Amino acid sequence: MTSFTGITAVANATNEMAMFKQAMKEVAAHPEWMSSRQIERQRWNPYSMEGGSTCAISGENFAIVASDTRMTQNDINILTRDAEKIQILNDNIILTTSGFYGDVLQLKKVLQSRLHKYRFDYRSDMSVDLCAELLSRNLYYRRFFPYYTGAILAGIDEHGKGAVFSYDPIGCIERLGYSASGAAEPMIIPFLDCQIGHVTLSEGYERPELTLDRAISLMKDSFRGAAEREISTGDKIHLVIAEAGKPVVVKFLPLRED
Amino acid sequence: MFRNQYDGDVTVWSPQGRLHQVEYAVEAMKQGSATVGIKSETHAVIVALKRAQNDLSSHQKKVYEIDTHAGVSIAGLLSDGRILARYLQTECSSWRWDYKQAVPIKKLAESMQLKLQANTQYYGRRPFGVGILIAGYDKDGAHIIQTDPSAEVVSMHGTSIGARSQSARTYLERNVDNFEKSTPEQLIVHALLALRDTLPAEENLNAQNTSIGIVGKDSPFSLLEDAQVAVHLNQVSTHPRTTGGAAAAAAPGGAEPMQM
Amino acid sequence: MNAHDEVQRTLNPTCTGTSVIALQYKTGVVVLTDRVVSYGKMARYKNVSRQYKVNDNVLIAFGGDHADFHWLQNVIERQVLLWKRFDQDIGPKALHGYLTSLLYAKRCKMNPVWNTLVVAGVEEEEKNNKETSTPFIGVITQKGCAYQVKHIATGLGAFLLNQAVEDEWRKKGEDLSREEAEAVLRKSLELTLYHDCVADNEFEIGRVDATEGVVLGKEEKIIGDWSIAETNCQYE
Repeated sequence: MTSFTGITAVANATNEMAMFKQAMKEVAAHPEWMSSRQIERQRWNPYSMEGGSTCAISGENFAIVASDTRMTQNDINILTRDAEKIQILNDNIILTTSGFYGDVLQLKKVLQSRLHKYRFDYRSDMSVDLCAELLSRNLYYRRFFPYYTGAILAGIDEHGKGAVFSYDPIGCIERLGYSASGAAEPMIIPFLDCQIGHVTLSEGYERPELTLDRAISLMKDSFRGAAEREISTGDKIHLVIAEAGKPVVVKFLPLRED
Repeated sequence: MFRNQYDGDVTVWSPQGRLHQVEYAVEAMKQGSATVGIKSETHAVIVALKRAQNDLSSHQKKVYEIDTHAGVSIAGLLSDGRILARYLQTECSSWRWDYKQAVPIKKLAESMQLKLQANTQYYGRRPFGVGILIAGYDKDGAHIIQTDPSAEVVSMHGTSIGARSQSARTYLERNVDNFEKSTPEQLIVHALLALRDTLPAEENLNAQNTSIGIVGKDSPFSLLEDAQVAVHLNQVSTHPRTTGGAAAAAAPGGAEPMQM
Repeated sequence: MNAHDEVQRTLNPTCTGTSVIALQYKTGVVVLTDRVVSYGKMARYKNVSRQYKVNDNVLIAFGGDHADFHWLQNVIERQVLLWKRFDQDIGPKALHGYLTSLLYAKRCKMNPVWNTLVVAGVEEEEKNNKETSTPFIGVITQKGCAYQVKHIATGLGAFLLNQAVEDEWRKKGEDLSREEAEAVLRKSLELTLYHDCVADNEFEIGRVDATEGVVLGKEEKIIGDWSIAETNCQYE
C-alpha cells in the first residue's frame, strides 16, 4: 500500500495546482475589488447606434418607403450624410432598417442571398409575403444575440396590394397600414395615427381612402417634422415608391443638415 | 468501346494509360441532346435543344440562370447537370456574400474543374455524366466555358457539345470570324443555325424544343420566353438548310480553344 | 463564451494609431496618417507607417490596434493572391465588402478586430474612363459598420475634423485638385496636432490616382504655431 501513497500525493499536488490556476483565472475575470457594475462597464459592447429614422406607408395599390440618410456616432457626430438605409431587394420588396448599422448590413446581405437562391430554385422572384415570413425567422434565429434593428419590409403583394410589415429586433411581425422605426419613431407614429389611422376623428366622419400623392406628402411632412426636433435625423429623405405594375421609383429630397 | 477488365472503377488505369470509366462518362455526355454556345465581344449566347420523353411529356429544362451575369446549358444526364448548376449557383452566391460583386467567370471555371476532377480520381466515385456550357459576362468581357466529365474545362469562342454536335462545330468553324463583331441578334441566329445542323433532316427547331439564353454588356442573363424564341426561329427559317445534318466526322475538336 | 476566455481576446487595444484623414479629389483619393504608434499616451513607436498598399489600385489606412492591423495585412495579402489566381486585382469595393464581413464576423464572436479601416482606391475598369471614374473611400469600424464617403476623418479626428474637412470640400465645389486636397489634409493634421495628445507632427500622405496608381507618401513634418503657449498657460 505504501507504494501508492506517493502517487496519490503527486495526484493531489497536480490537482491542487489546477485548482489554484482556476482560482487565479476566476479572480482575473471577476476581481473581488470590482463591483459588478464596474465589470459590466469594462465589458466590450458589440452594439453601436447610428441613429436615423425610417418609415413606410401602404395604400390600396402602392407602398412608399422613406428614410433619412444621416448616420451618426453617439448621436452627436455625423459620420456621413449619404448612408443607405433602404434596400430594394427586388421589383416588389423593399427593406428599410434602422438601428445598429453592422446588423443592418448583415440582414440585408442574408436576405439578398436567400432571394438569389430562391430565384434559382423557383425561377421567379419572391413575393413580399414570403419574404416577410423569412425575415421574421431570420431575426428570431438570433434570439439570444439579436440583430439590433427595427426592420420594416414593404412592397406590393401577390394581389397587387400595398403591404407594410413591421418587426421588433427579435422577429415579432405584424402587417400594418403604416409603420415607422428608429430614433424619430415616437414622433412619426402619432402623426400618421392622426392623419392616416384617423384615430382622433369622431365616428360618422368621412374617412377618405389614402391616395399616393397624399401618402407622399405625409411622408415628407413626417420627416421634415422629425428633422426639426430629432438630432440624429436629417440631411436627406431617401424616398422609394412602389406602385403595382410600375417600376420602383427612387427619389432624394433635401432635409435640414444641422 | 467494349467492357474490359480495366473499367471496374475510375481509379483503375488501362495499360494504354486511359481511364475507361471517365471515357464512358464522356460518352454519356455525347448522347444528350446538343447545346451550342458562342460569344461576340460584348455578348455570350447559349442555345440548347430540349427533348421530350414522348408526346405527352413536357420538354426537359436545359438552360439555367445561375446569377445575373451568367447562365449554363447542359448536355448529358440532366439530373447530374442540375446538381452542377446548383453548385455553380452557390458559388455565385458565396462570392457575392464575400465581395458584394458578381463572381469572375474564371473563378467559376476553376471551381468547376476542381469539382469534376475529384470524381475522376477517388475510389468509388462516379464522374458526372454531363457536359456544361457556361455563358457569362464579367470585367474581362464575354465568356463561353466548356466542361466535360473528364474535368477538361476550356474557354471557347464558340463550341457545341451533345448528340451530333460535330455538325454544329463544323458550322461554327466556318463562321467563327463573324462572331466577334456580331450584334446579339446575329449571334443568336448563328447559334441557332449551328444547333439546327445537329438535327436529322426530318426534324426542325421550334419554340417548344429550343432554349435561348443570352448575357452581355449592360444586359443581365435572360432566358428567352417561347414567344421571343419564335421570333428568332423565324429569322433562322429564312436560311435554307444545308446538308440536313450530315455529320462530318473529319474535323477534330471544336473552334480553337483560347488560353485560359 | 466562456467567462475566462476574456483574457485571450483584444477587448482593449494595446498599441494604437489615432486619426486617419482621407479626401477625394478629381481623379483619386489622398490619405493622411501620422507616423506614430502609441502605447496608451506614450509615443511608443515612431516612424511607423499606418498605410498599406494592397495593389496598384487600393490603399488601406488604419486607426486602432497595430497588432490587429498586422494580422489584417496578412489576411489581405492572401486575398490578393486568391484574386491573382483568376488574373484579377482585387478592387477597393470588393476588399471593402470582404473586410466588412470579416470585422462583423469577428464582432459576433465577441472577439473584435480593434481597427477602424479606411479603404481607398479606384476600380480597375473605371480607371480608363475619366468620365465615370469615381474614386472610392470606404470606412469600416471594428463592429462591422461600413459606409462609403467622399471625405472622412476617423478616431478623435471624427469629432475634430469631419466638419472642417467637409466645409473645405464644399467650398471648393466638391471638385478639388490634388494640391488643394493635400492642403486641406495638412491643415487638418495641424488641427489634430493641437488637440489630440497622441497625434504626431510627423506624417505621410499616400494617394491612389487613376493614372498613377498607388503612391505611398514620404515622411513629412510640421511644426505648427505654438506661440499661444506663451500667453495662455494653465500650467505652472
